[in-house]
Amino acid sequence: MKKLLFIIAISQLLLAAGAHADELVVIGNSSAASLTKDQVSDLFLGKSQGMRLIDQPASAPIKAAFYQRVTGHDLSQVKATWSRLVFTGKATPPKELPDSAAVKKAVAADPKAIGYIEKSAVDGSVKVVLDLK
Amino acid sequence: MRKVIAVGALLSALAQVPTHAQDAGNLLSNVDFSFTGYGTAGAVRTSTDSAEFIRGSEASGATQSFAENVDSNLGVQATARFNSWLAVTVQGEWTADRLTGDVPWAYVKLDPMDSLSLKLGRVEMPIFAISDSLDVGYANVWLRPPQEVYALSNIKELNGGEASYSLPVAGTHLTLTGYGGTTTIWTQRYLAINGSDVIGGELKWDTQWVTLRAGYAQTHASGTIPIENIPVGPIPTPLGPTTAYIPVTFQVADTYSFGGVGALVDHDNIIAQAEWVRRRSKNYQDAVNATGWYVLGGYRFGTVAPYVSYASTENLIDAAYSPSAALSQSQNTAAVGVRWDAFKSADIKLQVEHVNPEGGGGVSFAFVNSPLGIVPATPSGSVNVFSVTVDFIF
Repeated sequence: MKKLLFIIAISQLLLAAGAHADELVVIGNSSAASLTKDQVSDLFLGKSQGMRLIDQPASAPIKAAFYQRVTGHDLSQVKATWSRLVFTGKATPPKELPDSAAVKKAVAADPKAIGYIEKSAVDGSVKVVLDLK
Repeated sequence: MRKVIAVGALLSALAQVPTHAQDAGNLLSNVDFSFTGYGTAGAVRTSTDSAEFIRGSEASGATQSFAENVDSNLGVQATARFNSWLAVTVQGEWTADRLTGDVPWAYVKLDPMDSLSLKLGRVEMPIFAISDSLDVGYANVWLRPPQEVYALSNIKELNGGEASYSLPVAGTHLTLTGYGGTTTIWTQRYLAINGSDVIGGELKWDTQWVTLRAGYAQTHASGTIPIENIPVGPIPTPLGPTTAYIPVTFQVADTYSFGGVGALVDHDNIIAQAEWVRRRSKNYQDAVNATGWYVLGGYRFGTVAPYVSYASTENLIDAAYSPSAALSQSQNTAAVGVRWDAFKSADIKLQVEHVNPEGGGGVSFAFVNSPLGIVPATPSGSVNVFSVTVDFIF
């Protein structure tokens, strides 16, 4: 019974968090092809390479929301995963830019770049490659 | 003639530099430099003063008084990325474990294709499921890798080349790695011998939440090591009869190999890891041959991840053989611990272990000096070990 209450409490917390977060989109250069959630997860966890990853700062709430929705991992797990890759030279970590406007600008300028921003911030300079509803 | 052509080409290239000064400037400004680091500050104490508890191939460790050297380390890394296919990485590390050199990584990485990467220089061999990030405490859930598996390898760093090819298979990744070069083999008496003609490989299969891997490495081993001194006597002296010890050295010539399989699971909040390894010698089977395995299970409650593990190693010593000459001896350990991601880029870990060296010297205890030379310390019975660390990255 206690366990059930705990699960309910947790799921309500998660629901509340989901409702407050802005709608998220993964963006690429205007020439980029659409991606699946698994593909984006592999890229942002360093499992596959070939794209230039653009990240948001840890202080931005969008960052935790993005990793939670795409990879199912929280930020400390993501950080541990990247520390494994960075200190072994296996992959280049995402480049952190200060805000969504900077992410959008970087993605618009580089055909190999991929980033994530609020859906409301999307304009014609970038293409939505995955909509994280 | 070739040299002349090369010099000519170089000169003409240099001659073009002024006209392309802007390009050269762009090239340099496009180099992406990054400096990162990791470290662990730890303290360990045990329930005995009869032997010093160590990690890997350390020479001294913890007893009933706290020791800081066991898990503490500090690493710094500089990477210069010139473009999408060329990068240079150098890493320096301070640690008490002699298996890890001062410069564990120094290589040029080439990525001619997205799926292929080549590393030339010094790299750490993928001998275990977690070998490349073994020294980065922050990257792992455990406080310390199970020594029954991770202390069995006498090789770690490769001077040579490594090629890795990644193949997407139905939403998963298959990675084939092959390497070759030379290495240093650390023997149980803390002496290095040469490892030449290293060849090795790893096959790894990654899905969203599970990693399966199998690896193998072998090397030719050569060098001189001391073995147990021979006691002679009693010899009459003016101070009475005494025993003299004659040092004996031994010329090693062997084929050493290390292989293993492993599975890592990270699904939702469940963490599970298991590995099995095998160390083999062609010529000194009684001293070298051993197997080891461990299982670890953990669960993440937000930032707190408790875990339990059990590990065991067995060596295959013939009854007539002197166990003190073996590279390692049998041991098993049950451990319980917790990782707490207390800070943004740092965690705190606690671990309590019950180490059973099964009446011998095990793998977790420092060798000691005796009249017979450097011999295994034999703890009196099982040993309880308490450890605390703070891991950080920067």
